[in-house]
Amino acid sequence: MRLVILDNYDLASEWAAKYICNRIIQFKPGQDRYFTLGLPTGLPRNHPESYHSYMWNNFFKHIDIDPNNAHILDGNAADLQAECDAFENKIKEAGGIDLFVGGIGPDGHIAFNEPGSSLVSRTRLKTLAMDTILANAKYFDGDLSKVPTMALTVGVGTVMDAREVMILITGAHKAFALYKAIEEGVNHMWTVSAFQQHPRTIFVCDEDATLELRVKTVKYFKGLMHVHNKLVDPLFSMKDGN
Amino acid sequence: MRGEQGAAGARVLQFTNCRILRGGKLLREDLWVRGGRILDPEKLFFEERRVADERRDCGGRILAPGFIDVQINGGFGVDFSQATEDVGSGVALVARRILSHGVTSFCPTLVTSPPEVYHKVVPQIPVKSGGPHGAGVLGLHLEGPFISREKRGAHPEAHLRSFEADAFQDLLATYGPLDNVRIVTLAPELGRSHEVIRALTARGICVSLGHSVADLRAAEDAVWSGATFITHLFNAMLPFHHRDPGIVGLLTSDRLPAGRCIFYGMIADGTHTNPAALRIAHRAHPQGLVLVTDAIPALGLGNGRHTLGQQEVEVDGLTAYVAGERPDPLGPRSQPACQVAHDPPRACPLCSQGTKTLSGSIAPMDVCVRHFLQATGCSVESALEAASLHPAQLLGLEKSKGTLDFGADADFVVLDDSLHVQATYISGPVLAGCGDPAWCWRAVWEAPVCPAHPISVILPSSVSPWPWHTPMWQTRAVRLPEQLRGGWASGALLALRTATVGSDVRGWCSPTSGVIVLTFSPFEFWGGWFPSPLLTGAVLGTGGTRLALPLFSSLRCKAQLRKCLQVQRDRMVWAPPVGREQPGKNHLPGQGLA
Repeated sequence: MRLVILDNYDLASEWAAKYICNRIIQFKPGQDRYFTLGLPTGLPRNHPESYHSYMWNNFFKHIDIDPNNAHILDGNAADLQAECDAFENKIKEAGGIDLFVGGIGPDGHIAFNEPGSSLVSRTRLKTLAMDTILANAKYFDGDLSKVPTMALTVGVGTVMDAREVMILITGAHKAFALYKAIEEGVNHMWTVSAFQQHPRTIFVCDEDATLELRVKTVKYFKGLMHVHNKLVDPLFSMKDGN
Repeated sequence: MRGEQGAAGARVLQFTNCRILRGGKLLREDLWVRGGRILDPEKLFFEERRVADERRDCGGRILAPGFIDVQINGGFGVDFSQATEDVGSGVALVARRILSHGVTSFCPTLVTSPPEVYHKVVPQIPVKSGGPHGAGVLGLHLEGPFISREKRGAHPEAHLRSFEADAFQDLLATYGPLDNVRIVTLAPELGRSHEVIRALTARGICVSLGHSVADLRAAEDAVWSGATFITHLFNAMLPFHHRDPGIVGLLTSDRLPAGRCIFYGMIADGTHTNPAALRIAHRAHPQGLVLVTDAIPALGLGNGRHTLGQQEVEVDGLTAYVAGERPDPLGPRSQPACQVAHDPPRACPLCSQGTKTLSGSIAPMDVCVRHFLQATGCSVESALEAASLHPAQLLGLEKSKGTLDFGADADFVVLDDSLHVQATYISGPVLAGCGDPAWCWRAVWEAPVCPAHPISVILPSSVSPWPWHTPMWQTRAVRLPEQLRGGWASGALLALRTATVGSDVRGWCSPTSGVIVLTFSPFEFWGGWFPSPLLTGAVLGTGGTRLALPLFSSLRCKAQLRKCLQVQRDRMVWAPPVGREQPGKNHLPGQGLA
């Protein structure tokens, strides 16, 4: 595991972005593709809070990705289980996920794999915990009845199959989850801890998220920052014909 | 007509690197267009899984909805109120020329005229959508003849009428069939006006109050009957009085129907309304402000006499007055009324050779927008909305015009930060089976020269100077070469800069003949006055266009000019006239011209 500690939210985001950029360049993408996360179900696609809108406004519209290469779980599909199975198949067809980028919740969940989710689970329909619903209420004008209670999500097992995993953790409210994820044992109540058994994991966090960690841990990883920063050295751009 | 969503096979254009006016804000977003409409890119991405067929880089400029002018009496020598045989070609000429001012839709206005004129002219100006041929006609604006005698302004007294006898039938008898009519201006204090207003509103025609001596009560009653607009606020109505605000009081009246927004036109040319009055109106009721030009046929032409309907008007600089008797042209400067010594050609109302009655304006729409922005200190978004969204809301067209929301018609202007028009886009009709839809997609007017590539125009060298003892203004006329003539925006003052300090150059350009007239102030040096052709040169600019004019042929001056202005003398750069494309090139300035 690599734990990269930056000073604040903006720096952490920037570091993560540069890292992803470098990984893509190193990967020399041709026909290969990357996958992104699951989404809440039950909302029409053009709802401003749907995952489609979120991904479009924050990611897709700024890049030149071929729309056929963007796969998002459709919460409006008729048969949700079939949709999940199809998603798993698409991942297989694409040759597996090269880099999985995610965040964690205050209860230590990855994607929507709430506490108690099996650590070998696949893409499936999942009920959401009260904490998650409360956390998402801000996107629905604070009205709890409007927040969806179920979500389609990739499973912990699906994410573990990725060749590399990057988790972004910022803010003091995530500090305890980070502590449980990296300093305690593997436990299905803190599903992020499953990544202790993944060969290539990288956690990117800011200072506030380290508040619950041992000083020794923090000092150790901060001491490795010079190594970590080499990972984000600007590489040749893809446009230079590499 | 524009293609529906059935034009799903049509080309998708994406305008990037721009700021678009949407939701009252300038957002850093891309504008996507297909089939003559603004497209929602998210739907395109997720549902159709398509990307843009063509991308155009806007160079960080502002994309605003095309301006809508609801009061324009003519321009470029065309008078809409003249009953000629071929009114259509006059309208088409104006429609084409105002594209360079950023206007993509307009309402040709007819001033008070005898009924024969209406019967002849009105049927010849149908509603028409815009395209590469010119701005769209939204319908006619009939200003008069049912207006007040005292406040008729420049309208001829002989043709004023009333509808006391037969109310709406009188109106129909005067105008003829109302199919092409969109707005009617009348005075609400005339007898039986309420019946007429109600009848017009029932037909979907917008009723406007203007040229009237109505008090606030009468005006409010008219609004209850259906009036929604005020024609050129402050002008041709009773002035604001604290115990009876008159029509001006409608802006803040609390006796209007709930939810109804009263719109009011303002001519922001710096002459019709004092900037302080403009600010008062804007602060009182910003959502209702509609910028209009009230342009007369002299728009785009020079100083001198022109007609407006049955009247003659006199143009001097940016102002136009009703023409009066002509006194001795050498005399006016010594009139006792004007105590201020000033230089020509600045327009002075007291020294004007005609009357003091304003008669329309010759400020183009983009000049009005810039002046409005500067006078009120409002945000760029407000100024742009006053010229686009508010007129669309007045006419009930805000879903398709005056906005860049998804599904709206793709009429927009590309502006630089100081709101000079760089390009105007109107989507052409997507014809079924049209072989190459690409022709539908080009700017219908562009600033003719890329600002990064100034042009050298070589003039005959000037007279060699010697010191004079009195300051004397000098005038020079320059004729532009043929290929530079097309596309100059208007006859308004150009922005000038000089290569040396201490001198003032003013210019005026006639776009049709290609003549630029420059007037130079002299500068004082060693006790004598030297005429400014001593200058190494002058840079003329209007909007994004710059011309460098070396006025002297001495080598030293040329070297200085090159140094000061970084002009490459041997490099002539020009843009093809509107209508002819260069294959494979983008059509925005800064892209591919050379």
